[in-house]
Amino acid sequence: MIELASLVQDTLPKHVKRVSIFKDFNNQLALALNNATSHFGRYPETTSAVDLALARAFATKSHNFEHLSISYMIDAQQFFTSCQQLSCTWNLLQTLTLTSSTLARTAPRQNIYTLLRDASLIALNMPQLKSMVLWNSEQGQACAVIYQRHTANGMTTLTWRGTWDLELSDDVIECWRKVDPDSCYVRFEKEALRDVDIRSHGDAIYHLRLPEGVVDPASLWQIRQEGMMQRMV
Amino acid sequence: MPKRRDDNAFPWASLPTEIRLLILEEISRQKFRGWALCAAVCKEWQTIIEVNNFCQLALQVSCLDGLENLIIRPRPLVQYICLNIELPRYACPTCQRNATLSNRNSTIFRKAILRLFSILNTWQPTGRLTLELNASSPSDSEHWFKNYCFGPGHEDTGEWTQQEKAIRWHDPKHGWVDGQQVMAPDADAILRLFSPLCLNVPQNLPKVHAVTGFLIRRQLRHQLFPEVLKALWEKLPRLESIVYELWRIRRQDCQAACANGTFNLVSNTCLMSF
Repeated sequence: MIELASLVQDTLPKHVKRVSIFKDFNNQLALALNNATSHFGRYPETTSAVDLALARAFATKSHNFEHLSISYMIDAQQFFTSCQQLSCTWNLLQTLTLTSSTLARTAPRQNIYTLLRDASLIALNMPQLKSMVLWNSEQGQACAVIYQRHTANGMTTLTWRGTWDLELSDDVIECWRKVDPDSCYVRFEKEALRDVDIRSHGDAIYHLRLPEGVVDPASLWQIRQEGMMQRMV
Repeated sequence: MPKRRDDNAFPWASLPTEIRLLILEEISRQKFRGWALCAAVCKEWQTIIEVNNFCQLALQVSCLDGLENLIIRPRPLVQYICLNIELPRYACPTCQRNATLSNRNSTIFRKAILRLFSILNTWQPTGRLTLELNASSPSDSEHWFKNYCFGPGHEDTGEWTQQEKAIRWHDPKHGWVDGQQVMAPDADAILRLFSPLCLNVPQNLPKVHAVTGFLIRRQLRHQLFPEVLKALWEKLPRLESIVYELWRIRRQDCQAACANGTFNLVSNTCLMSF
């Protein structure tokens, strides 16, 4: 029996350049299962060794990728930590999209700043990077940090888009300024999502206007549809 | 004296080419019954209609004979093939637990994959071709999971009004009353829905050089074990793109299923890494 981590690390062919993983979930079913199988003992939802191994596998393998998007399977923080241990460059990677549970409304701001600093340090080693998106959705909330390098006008933007507000710290801003020394300047933008109803992680993806490739368009429609019906229960 | 019919005929050839193309594109978009037959009218029509007719193929296992007989010329037009594998229906005693059902699903899936890969093995690599695999039983959306999207072979409930749902989703035994879900699905039914499709693929699966993309969408609720993905990817030597949407299944749930004896198929192997 092989683990998914070794599948990614050892088996994923070198000619694969574009990888998009989306690990869907349904809280209603999870709860029903939890109640039904409680006699087997509850397991704390902690970061397991399996998740870390998977983050490491993706970090190692992503050297070969041009586009990588992973949602809800590994945490961006784990991915960047694994990347730091590798200390090399990602010469092909153009787009990177990851979820992180650190991007939560009630999370300590220092943790969020650490995530964003780590992301910028890794981005330094991605010379082809055109876009990096870190995002998350919680009950009724959604947010994304979107770094975009516009090749046409040489401009770079770092956008905060969310249902809640985040004030970027000076050192985070300073770190991101260094990512693209060729760019004229980095524009920092903020976009508040007001009056949006986030019923599902599908609504979050839709309202955050995440780039293509996070989830299949038909799947996104299904998630939003199912999320809408679940609310009616 | 009545005019001859020919005089009334629409002056198609006198229309500018751009307008003719727009009309043909619109016919291809609307896809009214029998639209694909228009390809037989003339070369011009064939060019437009065939491109649209062949670019995306959604197939059931029963369509594989047709795919096998597809002549070589239109093959390069195919950019996407989705194989929807229909798993057997199940009645209520088995909507909750049935190990034999898992074994039957596994056999059907393995056979379908072998057939599809054997056919596509003869296709020459040309441009991009994405292969999607999907599998579900018609019963999946008929018992507990009425509000879930499973893809082709199931009713598209997206357009239904609340009144329609109230009439069609009344099934108290499965937690539905007047279109409202009043009870969460039974745990065994959930585990059955998300059970693994099979443990491995046939050893003699041939290589397919034509495929460049691999797609599994979240409408496939069944799990594909890493072994299965490994075996499939190894047979796709030109694979460039992988889109893999899977489901969060905790390993202890899987263990519970095995302990319950719900799934013989996964016994001893459910300690997986998802």
